[in-house]
Amino acid sequence: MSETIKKENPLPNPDEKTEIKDSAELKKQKTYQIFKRNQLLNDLLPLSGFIVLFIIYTIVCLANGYTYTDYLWATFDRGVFIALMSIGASFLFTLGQFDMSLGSAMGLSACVGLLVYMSTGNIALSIISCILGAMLVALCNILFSSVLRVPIFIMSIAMMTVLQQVILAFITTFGEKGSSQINLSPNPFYGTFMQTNQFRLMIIILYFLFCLVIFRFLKFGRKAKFLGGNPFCARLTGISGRRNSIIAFLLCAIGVGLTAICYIGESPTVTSATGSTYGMDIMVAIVIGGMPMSGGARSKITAPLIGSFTLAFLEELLRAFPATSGEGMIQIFKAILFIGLVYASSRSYRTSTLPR
Amino acid sequence: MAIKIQVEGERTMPNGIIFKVEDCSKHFGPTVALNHVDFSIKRGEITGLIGENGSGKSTLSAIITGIYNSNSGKMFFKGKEWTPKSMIWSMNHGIGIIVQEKGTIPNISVAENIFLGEADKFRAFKGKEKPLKPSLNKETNTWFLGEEDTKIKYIPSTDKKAIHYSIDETKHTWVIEGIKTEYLVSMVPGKPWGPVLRSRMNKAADQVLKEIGETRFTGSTPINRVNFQDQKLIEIAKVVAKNPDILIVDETSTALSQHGRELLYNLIHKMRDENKAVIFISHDLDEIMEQCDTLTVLRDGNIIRTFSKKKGEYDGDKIKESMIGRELKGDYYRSDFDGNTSKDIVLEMKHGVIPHLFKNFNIQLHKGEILGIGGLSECGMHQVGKALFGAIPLAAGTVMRYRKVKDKQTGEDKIEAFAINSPETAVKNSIGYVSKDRDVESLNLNAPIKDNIAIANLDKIAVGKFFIFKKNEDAYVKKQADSLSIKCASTDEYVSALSGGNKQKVAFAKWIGKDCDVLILDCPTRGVDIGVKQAMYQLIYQLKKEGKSIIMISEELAELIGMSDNIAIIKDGVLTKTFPRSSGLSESEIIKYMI
Repeated sequence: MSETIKKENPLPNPDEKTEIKDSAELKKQKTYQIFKRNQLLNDLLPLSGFIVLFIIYTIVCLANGYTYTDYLWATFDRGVFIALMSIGASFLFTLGQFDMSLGSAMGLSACVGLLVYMSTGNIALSIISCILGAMLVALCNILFSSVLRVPIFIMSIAMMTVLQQVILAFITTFGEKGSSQINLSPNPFYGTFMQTNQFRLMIIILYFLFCLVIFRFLKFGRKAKFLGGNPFCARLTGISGRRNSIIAFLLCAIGVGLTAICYIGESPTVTSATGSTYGMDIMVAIVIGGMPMSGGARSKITAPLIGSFTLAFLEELLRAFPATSGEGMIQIFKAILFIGLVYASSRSYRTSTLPR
Repeated sequence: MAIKIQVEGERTMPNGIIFKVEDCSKHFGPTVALNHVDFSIKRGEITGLIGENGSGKSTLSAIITGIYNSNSGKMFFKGKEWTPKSMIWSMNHGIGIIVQEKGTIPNISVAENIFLGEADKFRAFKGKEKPLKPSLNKETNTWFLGEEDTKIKYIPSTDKKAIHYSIDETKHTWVIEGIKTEYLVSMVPGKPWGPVLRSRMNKAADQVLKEIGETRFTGSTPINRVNFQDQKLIEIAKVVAKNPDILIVDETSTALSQHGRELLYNLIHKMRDENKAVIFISHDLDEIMEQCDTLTVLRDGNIIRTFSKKKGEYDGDKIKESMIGRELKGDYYRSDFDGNTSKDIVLEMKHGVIPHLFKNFNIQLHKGEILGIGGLSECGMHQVGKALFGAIPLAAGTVMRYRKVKDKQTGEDKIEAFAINSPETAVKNSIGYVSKDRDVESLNLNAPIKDNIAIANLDKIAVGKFFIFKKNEDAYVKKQADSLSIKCASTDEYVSALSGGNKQKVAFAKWIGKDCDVLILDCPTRGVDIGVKQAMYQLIYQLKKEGKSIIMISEELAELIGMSDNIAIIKDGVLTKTFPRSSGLSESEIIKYMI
């Protein structure tokens, strides 16, 4: 149809304009190339940061005489938990939402997985229950935030406390009397593939590819970015905010469930505080990876992956120096880094006022 | 030692020029917005700026008011170099601007919007006054008294020793190196403190509103109770409160109701009579020719020509030609007067009720019809458009979409009715909607052009129903962008970087590409230049000829008369009259049913 329109009713054609137009066109093309180059450099910045950090990390490891491979896998383990959750959470971030309770949701899923194993002795059932536990928490979130429209930050803070209390209730009801944790000893997963680093590597690769396809090649990814950018316009384009929010919560729940599986595979111990610090780490990872807190068109599925491992390497580096090795110091450093990055991104947003 | 002190005030510029731009250039990423522009404004004149979308009018005004910095060039205001730091700074120093975009803050009062950032003015207690301390710039031998534009030039004749100053309290003058000066000590007011007195602020706001002639709401009215058009008046009041020497009105009149426009025209004429200056930017050629004393045409970031009213240079065709760089050929509106349409109804509102807006509202749209809906801006016509798209739920009544579907049993075509109760159902039933509030409701400004065009038609782009590939998406978007001649270096550019008219084209492209059978266009040519306007009218007509049905809501009666098969006029939520297409239909005939 548009072809026909063009033939019958040509809109003002740039070719018909004067010489001034030609020189302006040339300048336009040139400045566009600069714009594209800058955009590419901005996109590559988080990856470059990660590579630089990795090189410093390697130098520090070798200089201190650490067993490099073991140390690298340990850092990978730290990064993989954050990465699995933050990849899923990036769908929520893309929509302009966030969930601080994801860490506690992971703790609850791990708890459910361990309890199922305790009562059945079946690893497969335990794995499935981890995913189902995470899905159940996601359904609660969907009920409150997408159906009942409770503001997401209120819901996520409330859920964080509620989930910790639920874990505690499970521990006191089903755990050993007087104990504040569920601890399977000896480790039932010892010697199984589930306990290996390769298992976690396989899980993260598969989950990342799964999310990459959804984000980049399925309609949901496009709709999520558009909704994050302008929910009013998205609504008037026929995109359902509620439906897409539900999908995002469910995708996120898969990541949380997979993290719980990896977690119990590595160490089958759960307390009410399990996972509670991950909420902050997920946000920091996503922002370090180069994704804006507000979501929208600049959201990237690679951001949580790069950000999580950057964060993991950064933590290990901080631990290598006595002055910054304390856990409190690391948390303060992460918080400052987070505030700094959010400030920098909001500043660049504010200064890039709308050109007309 | 001889001391000479000089107070710098306004310098005179030749020919009554109050503001001058020299060799100004600006580019945004890939877009060259201004190309070595020279421009001047005279006192006691209303200077019109006109040009196609993206010609650089808004960019020039934004540079003058410090919203953007130029890449090169200089500016002079009252003879002194002008380096504005921000829009607020510029407003506080004599140049105010009313911008195209909505500039009011929700959930606060009208007065708080007018005096935004000026709460100190209304605090209960004034601070203690202090004498203004001078400071010496040793490089230029210049004493500064607070702000840089109240400087005292110190010219030592022989001795260049350290300089001391004091105040002669009896005569209240400066004493520098023991020699009294003629310059009186001015006092700096202290920082006010205590609670902000709302009543005082509201009273001051009422005074400003009275000054611009607005009496329908007061300073204490919550801004949310003021409609979109009148909120623009509050922005005008905000600028007037600063008493600027130059006022820039950037495509504001299209966002105003007729009443608001009259207030604006009175205001700019009053400023001209007070020997101040006004820059008036508009796409409405008739309006700009009527209001302005001179007219400067911009094209692709270059000043093309200046027309003077006094010299009798106003010639609509010549101005249009300068604007678009070619002769405007062909029809402006559609040329036929055949208002006959098919009898098949495609969209209908039956007994629609929205409390306080309209009740028992009935309207029908036929296949291949352009149905114009007009009235005063607050009459409820914009809400009718939204309700027909399912974006505002009806308290009672229904919106039905009638479509031809194949009968599963017989295989024959039959008409089936679908209820439209959300934008989702509307889009599913091949209805598209372009909102009047383009930047908020029709576009995602912080996303590429590509995303904005493709989003409405992902089903068509998808391979095997689910997968979206960049190649297909790019090809689809390019086709739409080319067909509507969207002026951009690439469809990867963000929509926020486009001019108003090109943004509107993107909003159109979204639905044109989807091949919607029904289009609801609310003020489709708002903020669009004459060349693009003509092309859009022809596009709408072309769509009609292809059998599409269009609802065109507009405040411009000429547009409705020129394009519609039928014109429905609404007054206070009631459909007062429907006019069929006719060559003899006049605006005055329609106005009777609007007011």
